[in-house]
Amino acid sequence: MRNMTVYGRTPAEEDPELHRHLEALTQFSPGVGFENRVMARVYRPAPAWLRTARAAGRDAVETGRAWTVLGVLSAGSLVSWAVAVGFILEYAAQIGAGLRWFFGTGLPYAWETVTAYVAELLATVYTLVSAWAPSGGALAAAAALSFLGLVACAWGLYRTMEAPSAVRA
Amino acid sequence: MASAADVSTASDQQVVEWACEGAEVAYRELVRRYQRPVFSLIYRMVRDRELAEDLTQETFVKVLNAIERYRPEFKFSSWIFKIANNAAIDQLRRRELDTLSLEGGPDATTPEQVEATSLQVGDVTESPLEEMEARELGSAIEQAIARLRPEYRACIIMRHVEGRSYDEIADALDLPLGTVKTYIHRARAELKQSLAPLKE
Repeated sequence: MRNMTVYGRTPAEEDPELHRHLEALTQFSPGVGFENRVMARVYRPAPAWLRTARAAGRDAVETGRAWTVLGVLSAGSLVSWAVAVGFILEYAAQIGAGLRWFFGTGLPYAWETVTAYVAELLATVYTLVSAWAPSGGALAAAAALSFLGLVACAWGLYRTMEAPSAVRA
Repeated sequence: MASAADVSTASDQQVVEWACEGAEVAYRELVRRYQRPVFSLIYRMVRDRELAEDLTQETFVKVLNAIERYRPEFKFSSWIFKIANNAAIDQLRRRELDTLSLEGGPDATTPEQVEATSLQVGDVTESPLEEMEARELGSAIEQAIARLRPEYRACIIMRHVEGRSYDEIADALDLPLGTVKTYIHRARAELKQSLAPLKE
């Protein structure tokens, strides 16, 4: 920071009388709620990590380092593919056997397991519902109510579609 | 992240750093610290309360939205005063208000406009007589300041009312240091001349 004055004197020392008058002048304040009005128009910055990433990207593009970065990424990708293809070629027989086992035995076994589980679950639910099942009259009443509910829904939907969009809004 | 208690005692640079990290309390602290000096400067320059408030708001919005571009080697106060002064000068150029008197602007044709363009001088004194004298003196000084050229006015307000250094004023007003000294010297001479009748 720089010095208080170029002469090393304060305003009061430079012209005491005038300074006394000027210093006594009112400090005006803006109206109530000024701070909130300002804050309503201020855009606060994004989180630091996002800004750093953006800045790094901008910097890379501006300084031409983007090409270097892209080059390194491309080379890395190429090496990865080369390694993967080499691995596949090296262990082709084992990989083929593994795939055959998966589609011949593993997958059907998994499918059977899942279907068996679902069937068992449905059976359990059926047993529970059967044990708790209401009498014939109650069942008929429930069915009737469900039907009436369905009719009410259909009517409501029809009315909604029929009404002009302004009324719907 | 900074708390309200931390920011109230921190330096401007530190508060700006927190603001750059997105801390709302830091933004609010900067508004709280500078709203009065900035508004006072602009109000004394344009002499229209509503306009001064709009310009002050614009100044803060501009500064806070560009807070990431603030360079810490400069004083924050210089930066905000520079933007405030530019806003006031632009407005004066647009509306040619620089010859306004304390009683109201030249464009003021209705009592409301006269009231809006008159500076409201402070009234905190001990007795009615002292109050009247202080008001008279305050009005006379405000009138004398109002008669100064805008660039003299900005310099003298920043030097004697806001207590800023010459360097800071030069930074804020984008003027060479020598020019600032000359302006302040001339402004003092003009003010003394204007206030001389009061001493008699």
